[in-house]
Parts: sequence; structure tokens; C-alpha cells
Amino acid sequence: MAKKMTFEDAAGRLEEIVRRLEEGEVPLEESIKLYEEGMKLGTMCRRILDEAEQRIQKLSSEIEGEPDAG
Amino acid sequence: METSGWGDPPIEEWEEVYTVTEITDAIRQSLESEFSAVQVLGEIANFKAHTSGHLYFSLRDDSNLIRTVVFRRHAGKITFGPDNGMLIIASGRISHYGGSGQTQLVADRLIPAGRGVMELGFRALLQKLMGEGLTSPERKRPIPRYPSRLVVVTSESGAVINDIIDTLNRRWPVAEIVHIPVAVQGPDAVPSIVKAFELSNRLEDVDAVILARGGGSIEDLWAFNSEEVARAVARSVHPVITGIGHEIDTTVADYVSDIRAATPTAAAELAAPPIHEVRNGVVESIRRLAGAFRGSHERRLHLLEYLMRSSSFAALVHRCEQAEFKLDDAFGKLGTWWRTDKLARAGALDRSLNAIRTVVIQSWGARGLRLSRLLAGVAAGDPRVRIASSRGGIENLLGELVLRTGQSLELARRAVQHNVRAIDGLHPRTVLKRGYTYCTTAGGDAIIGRIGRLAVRDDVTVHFYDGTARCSVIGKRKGKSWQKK
Repeated sequence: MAKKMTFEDAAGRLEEIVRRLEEGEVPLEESIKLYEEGMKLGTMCRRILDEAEQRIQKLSSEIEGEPDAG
Repeated sequence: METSGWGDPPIEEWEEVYTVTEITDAIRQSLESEFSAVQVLGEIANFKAHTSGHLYFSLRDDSNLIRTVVFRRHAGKITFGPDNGMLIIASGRISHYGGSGQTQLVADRLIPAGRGVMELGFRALLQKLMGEGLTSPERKRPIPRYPSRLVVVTSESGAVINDIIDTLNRRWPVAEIVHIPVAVQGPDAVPSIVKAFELSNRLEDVDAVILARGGGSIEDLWAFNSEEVARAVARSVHPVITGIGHEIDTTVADYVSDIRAATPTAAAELAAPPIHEVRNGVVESIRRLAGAFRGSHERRLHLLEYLMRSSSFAALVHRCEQAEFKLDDAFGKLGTWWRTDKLARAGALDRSLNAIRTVVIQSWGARGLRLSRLLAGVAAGDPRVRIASSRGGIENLLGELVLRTGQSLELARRAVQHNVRAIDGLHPRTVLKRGYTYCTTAGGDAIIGRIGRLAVRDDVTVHFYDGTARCSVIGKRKGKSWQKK
């Protein structure tokens, strides 16, 4: 299974598809494929944004520094 | 007046006499209230770091010196290595110790004196790193626009980490935050920051590292002017955003990072796009996608309609029918020839087959080749048997070709209409609205694309955009009505 697509990947690909379709001259079959792919990506992007919930993890760098004013 | 030089003073003056302890206490109290918070500039001499953790030294200038002590609890906070000859400013209070009879400066904070000294070190380091190309613009890596994982290297406590988390959460909760706590001042600062970068270098899928520290004096920011931290930043596998101190502070780490933000919060803002703008952008992209797609299909649909209306399309159908006539005719003649002259028969067969082949190839291109191979098969074998079966084959093929042409156009048309409808709900019968109708068998399961498939008294269904009509064929005529009109 390929690496999970990030928002960056999805948004970049969506922009590329929009640009290609807007430039025109895409053959029929390809344009249908691009359109379907673009719609999927758009939906995915919106879902990522709508469902985004901050996750925070803390990693120890192993050296315990004294707490000080940040 | 009988008083000698050694005589007792008058009794009433005795009250002004102090014991040593009394005067020592008085001096201490006086000094401590008068000099409770002072800053003293001087050069370090007689420096001694006691095993107890306290620091002892003298501060002196050209003509005087004052004993100075830094107790352990304050010594740990010193961010540089004090040593003899170093010019410093010591902050603290003046006190007096009776035991040694000495007046001392009890310092709680030492800073190297004069920005000049630090400035020199700063410039020398920067010069060195510049010489190695570590600050060059070509080394600066772009920060991904939509990060999914951000490492934050800063203190565990204090406002900075909270400000950064708040900013990232408000603007871009999409990104996971990995906080690596470090000391940002004190003797641990440099090694812990270096270690944090070693750790983050081992993490995958990190879009950027934010190295941040809140505002402070230039001495507080000392760690970020160290060569080790600068090199750790330069070596970082992931792009580094620095947000150190206030806007006016620029540390060496800022020079070698991929992008410098004025403050920790600004660094978080650089890493995180505002989510509502991104959402608007996605919605806009989807809108443009649908628009571009609809546009291209409307163009295609218009082209298709134009082609189907055009005389060349009609001519194609006509040529197909003519080919059929010729074929029928040729087979008719073939039968005659077969009966009349056995010798002539072979040559005539060849010629007529060639004629058919030519017509078929001209009419049908690649599909024609299949026909011509079939025809070649006819010529090769026993004509009587083969012709009978091959003729059926040829007719089937031709019928199939015509049907397929009609069907494939219809299919393409349907596909286009389907897609257009899928995009914006455009009604599939828009074409019919413009006055076109089409005809199917009575049951509606097959489209009748040509007159050859109709016989008088056949029942058919004619489809209008708003309904259908059951019709019976009362007469038919084959011909180029499209040209006569």
C-alpha cells in the first residue's frame, strides 16, 4: 500500500488537474478520469480540513534541561 | 581641666561607643539598605569556583577591587564561563562580613560586559559560517505550504510552547505537533538543542522544525549564538523556522535557518496556513474543476451534434448503403457468371471480389480489411460453397458495421450527456428539446438508425423530449432526402 496521501499532496494534485482541464485540449476519456480524480481529491481535502483535530506528542531529547523561562 | 590624652572621655559620651559586632552589624545594615540592588562593572580576578558550587572572585578596575561571591543557586544560571580577565557586569547587593571584615558584592547575575565583546564573537562566528556557505540563500529550503507534521523545539515551560500550540491549533489543526522540550538557556541549552535536532533528524514525514525561544536579554539568547546550535540547525534534515527573541534580535541560528521569523508566534504562523483560506481555496478548486469539465463537454457535445447533422455524416451512412447495393449486385452477377462460363468465371470472380474489396476498404478502412480477408477466402476455395456462407458472413459484418457505427455514436452521445448531467444536472434530453426525435422499436429496446431496418406496417416508438408516440410505418423511401432538401 502506498504512503498515505497528505493534504499537501492532494491539494497540489488537485491544482494540477484544475489547471490541465482549464487549459483544455484534454482527450475525452482522460478528462473524465481527471474530473473524477479531482472531485475525489477535493472531497478528501475538505474532509481533512473539516475533521482536523490537533494532535500533540512530546518527545524526550534525553537530556533533562532545567525548566526555565521560555 | 586636668585631662591627659589617654584620659577617659566624659561618661556621657560612652553611649556612642560600638562594640566590633555592633559596628559590623550597623555597617552591614547600612550597606544592605543603601546598596540592595546594584550593578557593578569590573574585570574578574582571583576567580575560584568552589566545590560547594559557589563562585568567588574579585571585581577590579584600575585602582580598586571588591570581593564578589555568587552562591550556587545563582551560579547555575550563568550562561557563559566566567574567568579571570573577563569584563563583566555583576548584579546583586553589597554586604559586609564581620568574620573577614570584608565588604562584598553578593551577585546573583553575571553578564559579559559590553555588547562589544559578544558582538565580536558573534561576528567572527557568522563570518566563519558565511565562509562555509551555511547562510547562503541557495541553501534555504521552502517550507511546505500545508504541513502535516511539525516539530517544535523549545522550552517545556513558559508561554512560548503554549503560544505556538495555540497558533497552530487556530490556524492549521491539520498538522500533528511533535514537541521536543529543551533548555533554552543555561549550561544545558546548547547540548539539549543539539540533541533535539539529532532526534528530529531521525523522524520521518516532518515538514518543518520550529526552533523558538521567547524574548530575553542578548545574554539569554546566548545558546542561539553558539556554533554548535548553528551547525545543528544547518545540518537539520528538515527545513528549520527560527523564532527567537523579539523582532530586534537576530541570532546566528536565525542566519543559518531556512527562514527566520521575528517571534515564536510568527514562526508558527509561517508554518501554518490559515485553515479558512485553505478551505476556500479547495472549494474554489472544486468549482473551477466542475466549470472546466462542463465547458469541455459542452464543446464536445456541440461538436458531436454538428457532426451528426452534417452532410458528411449522412454521406457516410449513404456510402455504407451503396456498398451494400454494390455487394448485392456483385453477388447477383457472380451467380450468373457461375452458371454461364466456367473459364470466365474465375477471372470475373476475382475482378468482382477485388471491386468489392476496394469498395469495402475505401468505405471501412480497418474493418474493411477483415472483409477483404473474408473475400480473399472466397476466391481461394470452392466458390459455390464458400460464396453462400461468406455472403452471409459479409452481410452480417456489414450489418454489424452499420449498427456499430450507429451504436457507437449513440453510446458516445449518451456518455457525454451522462457526464454533463453528472456535473450540473443538465437534462439529457436537451438535444430533443431543440426539436430532434429518435425512433426505436416498439418496445423501445433498440434504436432504429436507418430506414433499412424498417418495413411498412412496422410498429415503432418515436421519442420526443417530453414523451413518446407509438407509430406505424405506412410507407418508406430510401434515398438522400438530406440532400434534396
